[in-house]
Amino acid sequence: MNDESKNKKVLVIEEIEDDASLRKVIHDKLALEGFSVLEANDGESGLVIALREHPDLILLDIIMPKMDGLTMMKKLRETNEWGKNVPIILLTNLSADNDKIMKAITDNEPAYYLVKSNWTINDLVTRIRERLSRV
Amino acid sequence: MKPRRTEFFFMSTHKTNQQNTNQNRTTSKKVLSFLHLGPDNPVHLFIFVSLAIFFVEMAIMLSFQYLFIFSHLFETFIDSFILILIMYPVLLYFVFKPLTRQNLELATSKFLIEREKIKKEAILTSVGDGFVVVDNEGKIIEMSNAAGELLGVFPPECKGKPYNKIWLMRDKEGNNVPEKDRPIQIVLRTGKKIISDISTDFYYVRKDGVAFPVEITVSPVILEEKIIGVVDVFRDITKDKEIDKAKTEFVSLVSHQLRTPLTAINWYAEMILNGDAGEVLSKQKEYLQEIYTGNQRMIKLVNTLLDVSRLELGTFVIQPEPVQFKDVAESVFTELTPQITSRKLTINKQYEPSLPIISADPQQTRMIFQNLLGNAVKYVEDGGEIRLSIFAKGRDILIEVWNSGGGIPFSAQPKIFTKLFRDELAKQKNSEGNGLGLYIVKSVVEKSGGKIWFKSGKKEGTTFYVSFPLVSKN
Repeated sequence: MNDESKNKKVLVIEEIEDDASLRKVIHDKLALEGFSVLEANDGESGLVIALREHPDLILLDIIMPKMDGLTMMKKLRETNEWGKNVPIILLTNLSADNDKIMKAITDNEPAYYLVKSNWTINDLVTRIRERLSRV
Repeated sequence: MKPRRTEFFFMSTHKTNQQNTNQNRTTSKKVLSFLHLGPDNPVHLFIFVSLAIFFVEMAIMLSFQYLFIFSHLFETFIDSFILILIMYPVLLYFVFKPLTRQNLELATSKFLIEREKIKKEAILTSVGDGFVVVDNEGKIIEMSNAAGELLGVFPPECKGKPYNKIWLMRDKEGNNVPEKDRPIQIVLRTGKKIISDISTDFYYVRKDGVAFPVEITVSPVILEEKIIGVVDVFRDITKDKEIDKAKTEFVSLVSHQLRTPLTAINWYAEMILNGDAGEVLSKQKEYLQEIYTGNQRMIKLVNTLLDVSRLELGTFVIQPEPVQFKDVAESVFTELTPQITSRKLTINKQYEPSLPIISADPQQTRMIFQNLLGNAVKYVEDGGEIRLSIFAKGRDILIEVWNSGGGIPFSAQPKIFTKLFRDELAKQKNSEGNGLGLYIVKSVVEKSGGKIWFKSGKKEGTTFYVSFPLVSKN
């Protein structure tokens, strides 16, 4: 438990199905690392929870039901000052090779774009800490 | 004899079915025929000669002052008749027969040729693919109905016209291909066949301006060592391209979806190995490590599959940044250090001192070095040598990777850059590897405007060459 991570809330937004499995392991890891974790199954409820709870960092999947991650990110950025600045890490299966994704990244400035299968969970934690320490 | 005679006279008049001989005809018919027949016709000739003999006979008699000629008309007739009867076989044998035989042969040949021509036309116009034949000036000689349909033109109207006026060609960016670069023109110039396939992106443009992708085979027509024309056979491959695209998109979709369970295995295995799920016995750790390693290989394969499908779908993006090739190479060597030391390999590096910084995609550059150097390390013999040279040559930067060893077998060399190709020997030496590496490297290099090639032999080992333009294409 670090001092940094005390009282920091991390929102985890993941897709419903298989990603229940990933959602669980991320939750367990972050909890072990001393973070407080919020969860959502889709972009819509994720947006609501984010605006209500004001987490310190958001982990955002792209492919989700009801509202996908890129749309959610755009809406969040447009809502208010807090939404404009909250750090977002995009966690996804998609390679960043289409115009839509790249435009979203340029417009909305997430902190990182990580392809899940290419990073260890420790790497993920390192990135999270890195971003949080920059604030 | 009689039927033959009939044939003589009537074949040569282009009438094939008449049964009358000249002798069976009435006078009126004779006169009629005479009027219809041409001057080089044996029947005409015969009649003419007969009449001539008669009138000459008359003239001779008159000149000898045969006062009773008119009362002796009958005798004159008999006279001429006997003369003709005698002359006829002589004339027949020495004049008519060869003449008519000649005419008959000519007519028969003409007839047969005409028939063959019609048959051939029928065959050509009914060829199911687009089929166009041009002469050595590029004017259309033949066009199949299918070609007409595909190009939106009427084949009979196109004959004799220059092909470039009948239909245009476009490249995949939608620009018109100038005539001198069109395959038909190139084949007319060089006499070398051009074949395209689903990956070469040729488009033909219909009369209404709509372009469609084609697969073409353009071959020269050579007669006595001269190029007298060109044949272009082409097919509309819109459907084929759609199927290919669907396949690639499928691979892409599935590969993306595979990442989720692969990530799950990754992270859970990692958590256990870290001790985050309680204490792990050493045997458990060992087995878990195997699971983790196997999973890593699957992830790599999925990434490779995605690279391939992105290349084929055209969504592979090159994002140039200033890159120092030497640094990338050094970092890749560092990655390979464990294998280099364990197999006692000698590494020889030759970097040109003032190597310029290149505008290239850093990830792709890294991948190229990883592939080339990784392959060299994989396939060199234990204790062997690897040499890397990077230097500028003209307007390009040249990378050479040489490894000692038995080289690539001759039979495998043509297939080296194809998808999923792994030589038998390579498979023996290294069961990992998926045969996609060089395919991807080649695609990326060529997309960046560069070239890749290799030389390999039993004694000389293998050298791979990559050239990159110093000024980026974009």
